[in-house]
Amino acid sequence: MVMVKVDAVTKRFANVPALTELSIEVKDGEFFIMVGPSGCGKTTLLRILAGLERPDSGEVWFGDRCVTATDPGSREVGMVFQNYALYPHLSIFENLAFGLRVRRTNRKEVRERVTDVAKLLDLQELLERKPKQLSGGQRQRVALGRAIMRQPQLLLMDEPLSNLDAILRERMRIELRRFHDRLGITTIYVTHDQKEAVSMADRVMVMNGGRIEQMGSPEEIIRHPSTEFAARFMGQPPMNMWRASMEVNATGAALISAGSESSWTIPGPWPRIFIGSPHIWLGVRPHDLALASPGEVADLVVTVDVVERGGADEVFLHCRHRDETLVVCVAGTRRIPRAGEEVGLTVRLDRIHMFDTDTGARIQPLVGNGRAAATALLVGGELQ
Amino acid sequence: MILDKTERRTPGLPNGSPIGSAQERVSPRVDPAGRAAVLSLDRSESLVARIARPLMGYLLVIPSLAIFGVFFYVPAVMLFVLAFYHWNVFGATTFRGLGNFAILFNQPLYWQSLLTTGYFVLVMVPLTLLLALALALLLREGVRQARGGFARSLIFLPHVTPIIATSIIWVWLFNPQFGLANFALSHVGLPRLGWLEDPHWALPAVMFYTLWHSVGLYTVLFLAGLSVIPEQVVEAARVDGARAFTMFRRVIWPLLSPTTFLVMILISVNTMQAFSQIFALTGGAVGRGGGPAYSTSTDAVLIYQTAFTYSHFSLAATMSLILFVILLVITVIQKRLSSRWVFYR
Amino acid sequence: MRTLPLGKGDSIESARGKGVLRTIRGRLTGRWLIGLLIGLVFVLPVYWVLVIATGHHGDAYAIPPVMLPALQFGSMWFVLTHTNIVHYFLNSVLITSATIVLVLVTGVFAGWGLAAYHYRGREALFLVAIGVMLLPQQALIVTQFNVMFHLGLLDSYAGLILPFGASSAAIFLFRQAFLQLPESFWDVARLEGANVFQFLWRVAVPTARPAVATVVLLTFISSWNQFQWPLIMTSSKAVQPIELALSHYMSSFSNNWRDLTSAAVIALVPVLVIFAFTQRYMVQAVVGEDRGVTE
Repeated sequence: MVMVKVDAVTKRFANVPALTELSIEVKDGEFFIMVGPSGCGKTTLLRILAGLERPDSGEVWFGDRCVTATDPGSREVGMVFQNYALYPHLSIFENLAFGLRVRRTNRKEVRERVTDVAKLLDLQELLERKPKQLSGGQRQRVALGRAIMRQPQLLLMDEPLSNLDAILRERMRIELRRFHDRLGITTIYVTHDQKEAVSMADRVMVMNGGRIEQMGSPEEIIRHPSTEFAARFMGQPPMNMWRASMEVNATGAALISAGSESSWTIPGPWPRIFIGSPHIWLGVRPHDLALASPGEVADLVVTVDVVERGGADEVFLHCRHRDETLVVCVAGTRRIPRAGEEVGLTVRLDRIHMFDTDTGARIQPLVGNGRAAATALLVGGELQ
Repeated sequence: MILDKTERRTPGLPNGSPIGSAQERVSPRVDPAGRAAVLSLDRSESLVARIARPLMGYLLVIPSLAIFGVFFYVPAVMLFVLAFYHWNVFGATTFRGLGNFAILFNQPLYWQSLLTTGYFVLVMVPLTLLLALALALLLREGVRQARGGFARSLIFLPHVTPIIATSIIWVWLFNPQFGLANFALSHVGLPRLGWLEDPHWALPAVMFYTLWHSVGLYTVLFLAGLSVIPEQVVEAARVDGARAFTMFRRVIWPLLSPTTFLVMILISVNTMQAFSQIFALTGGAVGRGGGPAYSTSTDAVLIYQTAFTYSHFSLAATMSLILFVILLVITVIQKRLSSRWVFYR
Repeated sequence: MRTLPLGKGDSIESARGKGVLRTIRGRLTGRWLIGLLIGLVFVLPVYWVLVIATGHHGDAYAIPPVMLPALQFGSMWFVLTHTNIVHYFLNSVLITSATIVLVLVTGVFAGWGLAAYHYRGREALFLVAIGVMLLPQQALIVTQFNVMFHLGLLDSYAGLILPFGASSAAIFLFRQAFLQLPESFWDVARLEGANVFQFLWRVAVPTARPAVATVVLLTFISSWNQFQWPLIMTSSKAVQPIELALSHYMSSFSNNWRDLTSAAVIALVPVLVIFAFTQRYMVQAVVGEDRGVTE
């Protein structure tokens, strides 16, 4: 149970940077998830936290203890691996007891600790078995049990669910979260599955190319993705994203031409710097698009391509809009258009996202004293 | 230090002072002095780590390499030096240039030993190869069956028996008076032979023993080579009895040729180095090894006798160097022609 | 040009039906019998060692040769009690077991050192370790003697054990086995606070059990059968192994075949017993070593 701080950590492998000047703080007891595509550096960061890799520069702090140079075995860290890494020749009991045996703990204590952990994770029946005789979910629990055997301050998990089948994965998500809430151990979890991140985390860090794209609560990232990458990566189905142009008028409102006849007006005030470069990424989540009711003015007119049935009462319409493909999520209770049909869509204009095509950064309306802030940003923009 | 840290924690932000921000802008990677000091400390840590991990790797390999170095590589290098010196183990050394070679090449015994070795190798290679191949083809279908595996084990067994222990019984088999070899010969109406006591028949007797002792190894090597040939090919050949030989020639033989080549080289290098069985069969224990009349005195036997019976270490080293080079050339040629390594055992 | 009837096997079988299958089975049995007979011929010399050793006095000179053992153990008892063979036997046991232990330790260390760590020159070190097998033993023996002399290792147990305390095959096999271990096994051990040696002992070696078995068998065979090396490197009976004793007996017992073969039996028994229990495995070990190392 400890606060974890990573300070300006850089790591290269054979001169290819894996992490660049990365800093994070994870609160005591928090369930913190690092998510990103493979090769984004999330596993490297986790291994640096575990002490399995040394950063080239930067520091790692557990509470008020600097552990940058501490051996993994002295860090009081438990870790769960993607392949569970259970030793095939040892019984479950011995797998759990491994760390204690290595430390020459006396037999009685070993037995007590193993029994405690087995009880906690419902492993009592499995103690005499070998890992091979266990199902995926059971192995997963053993791996978790081994990670908490020595009562770690920090629990690290490296894609622990990715070797499980879909149904089991759903269930383990809940179980892992419940487990965390019961023990209250600070947990840092790595996954490439944004769904896991959204459903389990207190806080999520989206990573890409060794850098942080965004850090925040799942809701925050879904509602206000701060970069184009975060917007595309998080949320299911992925956000619709196409190129559009944006103009800010005299009142500060943005006029967006998204490929439909009329442009959309979004009240501002918006920073005026984009007047010079009107091309933006326009993002709309499938759930923020709807079929226009008869008589309603459509914001977009599209052709339905494929109708995909989602869950119980959700339907995803894959639509063509000029050269782009759009996904629209509609309630399954209403009339579903057929493939090939042309339909009108309405857009929740308060929920659209705009990103700079050059930097990928979110374009934010100005808040507070709009005009002053806009000027400041304008200056900053010109500087770059 | 604390000050350094606070500065480090906000590296990316302009810290208000114009000097600081100027530094930031000029080159964001180079930080104020305090930071650089901490950074260099970081680097020294990671330098230790960078060395410590591989160091463990080196340390773990060192025991093996020390043994290999002292007992194998050093002697190999010494060969290239001592062959050109006059020396004995007690250390007296004088440079002799090619003198050792001159003496050696004037020794009829040396030439005879080379001839004997050549004769031995030239007979053994085809003989062992053919027998091993025939046995492998015979046992072929048995590879995956328990009972066939049993016959294979029996043929393989001699290879793992200690040479002296089994030489004893072969000396008995080759006994001119009551040995089984002569019993068998006279049974089919052939004249009895002197075998190990006859200069003409001693080497063939050694060959029989060597064949018996080693053919099992090559048979299982062939079996391993055969096992990668698709079953249907051989089955087809077997069903179509009339064309079995054609099938062998056209399918099995070409597919087996890498193994055949490897086995051929293995037989040559192993027979070229035959020592223990010659020593035991020809009475090395009573100082008669290589006889009678030097008829079984191969290169390896002569090297042994020159060094350890007659204490001519210089000449023995020179002979060793020549043998070393010959075998190395064979290995290089083998490696050129095949992707696999051949090893002396 | 006729193509090879590669895919024809099936059609031929189905066309001619069961008759062909029966012929095949008949031929298989025939071949099996021939194979077995040849196998027995190969074992015959070893068998005769036992027959003569336990036979009656004069059996060695019988014509036609005696085929059944009389199971007289008098000669065996004489050799055991009136010669130093037990001493030589124990020397062999000591030398062989020490060599096996040493080969395992150095092989596991070097195998891990060459598999798990990344450092400059690793490939070169591996080639150096494997390259020893390329050195022809007969060409080295003279200078090896020189080295042994100067190290003071002649005529000592150390001189019979140490030079064979590392094996290329063992290093190769262990490296191969360790390369197959998931990296996370080592990570877990480090997180649990184990050092390299604890990890090797508790995890790496137990999971590489097939390699251990192969290395033990190969080392046992080569070490127990060691002859030329002790012949040259020792002169006192105190440290000599059993193969050398047999060589001595070949001269001193000259034509006393019964005692001579009795002594040979004592050297053979450990090999035969171990072979009987591990025959399939031993064949695989030798072939596997050759295959593994050469490919």
